[in-house]
Amino acid sequence: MIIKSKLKSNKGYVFTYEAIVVAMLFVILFYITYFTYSHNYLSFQEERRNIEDFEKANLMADMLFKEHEFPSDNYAPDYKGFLGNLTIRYGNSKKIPGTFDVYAIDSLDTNNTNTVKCVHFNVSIDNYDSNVNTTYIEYIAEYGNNSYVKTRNLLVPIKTYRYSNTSRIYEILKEGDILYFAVGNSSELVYINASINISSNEEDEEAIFSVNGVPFKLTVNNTPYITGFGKVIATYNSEGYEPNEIRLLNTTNNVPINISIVYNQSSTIYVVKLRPYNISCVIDMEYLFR
Amino acid sequence: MWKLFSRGGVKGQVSLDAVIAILFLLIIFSLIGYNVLNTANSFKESEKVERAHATIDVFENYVLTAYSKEIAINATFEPMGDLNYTIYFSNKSIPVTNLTYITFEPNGTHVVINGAPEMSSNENLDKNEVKISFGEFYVSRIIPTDIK
Repeated sequence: MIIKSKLKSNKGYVFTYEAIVVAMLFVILFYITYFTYSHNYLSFQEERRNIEDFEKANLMADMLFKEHEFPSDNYAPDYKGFLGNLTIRYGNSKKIPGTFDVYAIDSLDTNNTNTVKCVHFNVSIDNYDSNVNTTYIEYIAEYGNNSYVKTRNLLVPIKTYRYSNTSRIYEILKEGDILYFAVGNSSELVYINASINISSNEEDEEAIFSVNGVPFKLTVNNTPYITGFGKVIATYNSEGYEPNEIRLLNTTNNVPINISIVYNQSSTIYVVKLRPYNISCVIDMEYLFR
Repeated sequence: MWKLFSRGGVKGQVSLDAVIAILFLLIIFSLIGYNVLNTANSFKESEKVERAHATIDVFENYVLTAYSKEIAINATFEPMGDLNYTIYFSNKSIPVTNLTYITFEPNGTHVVINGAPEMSSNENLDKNEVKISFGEFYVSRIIPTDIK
């Protein structure tokens, strides 16, 4: 009733200024609703896209970790033969699950030049040693402003080595380490001994090993102790190098244990030592999704 | 009721005031009406494009998951309402006109994708490019993994 009286002029039939104001109010109301709706709609889309970016970054990180699984192609041909025999233990995938190869080239650089700039791995490994790698990659720890970081605990091949004409190898194992070794010809194992570097008044170290899947519990001190590992060690077979596995599962005081492996004659000995490290995959969201 | 006919003049004549008033209302309502229709239309279009991007995103996610987890995925794709689309990659095309099963199988360095029905296409896209055509428009994306 009020609106009707406001719309109608008392003097004539012409629409008054008030009527125009009311019409304007309708228009303004319409635009407020319109802007609110489109704002909400657009911000919803934006938000959804951000969530999708995170999902994508997560999947990208998984993919990049996959591309970096050990072993990559970047090893000397004869060493690759040894690695081939090793990966058979882990099924058909030709890669060892849960590993990170520091010599794997980021295969993405052939696909998408943009990705390489935005992806890097934060690898802080004390030292890795190799005489069979064909590439060298510098991993830089660097975080952008808008980074997606995924960290995994992965086994890193800190030592990939070929000993030529050797009958005795010497390795230091820490808790969690896995050592694989294979011997090149028909040489036979003489013994494997274990020791630790402590002064004689310190207590002995209790260590649990798994050798080719068989558990061994040893008490190790600074006098080299000949282990019973030899019973379960495979030697050269006609089909190639048979890798042996020594895992150090547990130690009481976290003291590194020295392992000496002695053969009766000199030959080529292949060694790979894996140690768990935290590896972070850093994806720069700002550049990757532009 | 408003009086739309003049009181004093010739009978039956529409007053100039009424004509102006009607014109004024027409202008306002055509303005608002135009905006309403246009908004509805543009929302419809943007929704279509959004869903197209979502579809290609899902496709990419399946490829990445199949590759990095080394698992075969059997996924279903449906048309967007009554809007059919065709997925193109390498030299294959998979038309999605009703519920379509697409398998993603990892094969070492790449992922093999098969659909039913599956046709060959002469598009010959790059080994890591995927394109979804909706007839009036298409979306394409370079994905980080090779597909066949």
